[in-house]
Amino acid sequence: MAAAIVAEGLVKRYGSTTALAGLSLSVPEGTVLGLLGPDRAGKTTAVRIMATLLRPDAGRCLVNGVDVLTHPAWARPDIGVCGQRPAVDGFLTGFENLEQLGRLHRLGRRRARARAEELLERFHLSEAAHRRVSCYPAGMRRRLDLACALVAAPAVVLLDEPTAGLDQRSRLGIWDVISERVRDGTTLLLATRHLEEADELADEIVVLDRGHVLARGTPEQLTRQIGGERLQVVLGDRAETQVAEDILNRVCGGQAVVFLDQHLVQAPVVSGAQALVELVRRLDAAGIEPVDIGIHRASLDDVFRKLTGQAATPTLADEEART
Amino acid sequence: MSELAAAAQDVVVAARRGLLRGRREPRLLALPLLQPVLFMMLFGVVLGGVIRVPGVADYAGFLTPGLIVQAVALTAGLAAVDVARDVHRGMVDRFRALPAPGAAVLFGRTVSDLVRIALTAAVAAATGVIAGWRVHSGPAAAAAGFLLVLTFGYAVAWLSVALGLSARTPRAARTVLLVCLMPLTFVSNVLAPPDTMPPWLRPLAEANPVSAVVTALRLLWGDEPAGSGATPASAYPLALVWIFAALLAAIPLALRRYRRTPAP
Repeated sequence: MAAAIVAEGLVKRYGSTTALAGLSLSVPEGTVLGLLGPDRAGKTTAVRIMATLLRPDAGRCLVNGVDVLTHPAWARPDIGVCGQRPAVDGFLTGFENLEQLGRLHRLGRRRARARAEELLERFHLSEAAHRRVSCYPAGMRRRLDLACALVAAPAVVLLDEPTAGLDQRSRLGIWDVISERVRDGTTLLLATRHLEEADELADEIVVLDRGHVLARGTPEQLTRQIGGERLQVVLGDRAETQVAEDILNRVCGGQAVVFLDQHLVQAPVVSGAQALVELVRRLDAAGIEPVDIGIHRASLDDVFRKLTGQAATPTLADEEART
Repeated sequence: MSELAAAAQDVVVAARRGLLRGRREPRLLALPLLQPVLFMMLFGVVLGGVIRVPGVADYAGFLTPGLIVQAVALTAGLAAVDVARDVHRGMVDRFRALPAPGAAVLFGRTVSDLVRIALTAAVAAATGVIAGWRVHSGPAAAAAGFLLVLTFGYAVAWLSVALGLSARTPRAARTVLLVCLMPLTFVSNVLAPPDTMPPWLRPLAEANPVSAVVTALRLLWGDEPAGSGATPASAYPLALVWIFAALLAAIPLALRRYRRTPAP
């Protein structure tokens, strides 16, 4: 499969801080790459370089086969981009925002209008089409922002933290929109600091911290590497921990850990949902009523504690950055 | 050729955006529209009876060209805040990622500024007329005067766009704008002839580009003595040199800043 995005050794420095220390990645056509990292990891810098908005100090970047550094104008029609905050005009209606972008994409008036209608429908914004965006709630504004990136039906879409500033419910809504409406055969690069988001949407994840790539792989590979899911039981009575530990060991195949003072027992698990049902059944049979029970997923905190430890020694990216 | 036609379309779309913004967020224009009215009330009407400018019989008439220039400078200057807001909200990034060239987008923006500039100039002139100001020259010179006002405003608009693209936040853009506009419009010959000012201030007021434009306007409109020894032969070229120097500096600067806008 051909690569829709290729970055090789991208370096960007701002004064003495290094935003990107030699980022290399490749995104096969039609797949989703999650660029996962905390604040100041270099995600926005990477996205802006790929979107022709920023020139790196070193490196090469091809989007849809076009070198964005030497021929930005040729690359632009194939790229749709959304920044961290929705870039939509509040004083225009949803329809006018999309029409304006269609015109600036040189679709011509008629096609720009038709495309605006089409996208409003696709993003469930038809009812609000002729209302000013300044009265849109945050989630709707974000949907319109995503629609804006798709006006020219680009082959590659770059999203920089598409759910930043949204509550959990709107976030889930945007995930649906991205996986059902935005994807649709396009290649997607999704910069995010939420492991859950990358896990939900990405085929492959690159973990970035302070400009360095710490790890890459499919969500399954990474979570397995990092620790993955854990089954966790909190008990009302300290005396029950022993029985609970035995049960967890049987359900999860060993490795249960007991935190006596918190009345907590946990164990790593592969297919959490199944194991959870089994665990509940067995606890019930043993006459134990847990205070709390659930699947604990590795958080981004866990990931970084683990990964930054690994990256203490100079990585290949460091070497590339120096040359 | 077709690229040129497409770029012309881009200019139209960007200009339309600027005009719609002005129409739907009219509070942005409130200050520049009110300023000449308030100043005329204050200086021309309330204080007009006690203000005596040597050689000037009618202070309201003396005041009007300056108030027009002041209002136009403020209108054009507020473009900086608008543009800084666009940078801050990521609109500039969105437009920059489009195939439309930056020059077309910025040019369209300044076209919409020019419409606002014409509007404030008209309101300021009408205020002057109500207060008793009249154009004493012929229609050609009168028209030339208004054309000069528009080109002056246009140059300030480009300077403001460059400022807006360079500012870190919209608030910073507003602060820098006011810090520049206040001395430029007040330490000038707008309210009083520089020869009536203290010796240390006089050279500043005389060298001020705003004074150069106002002097040229007073001559073009046949108003009362424009200033010490100002003649058309010296005043017109000076005003034009200032305006074109500003355009020549501001346009490339704005385009450069546009290509390097920082992340919002």
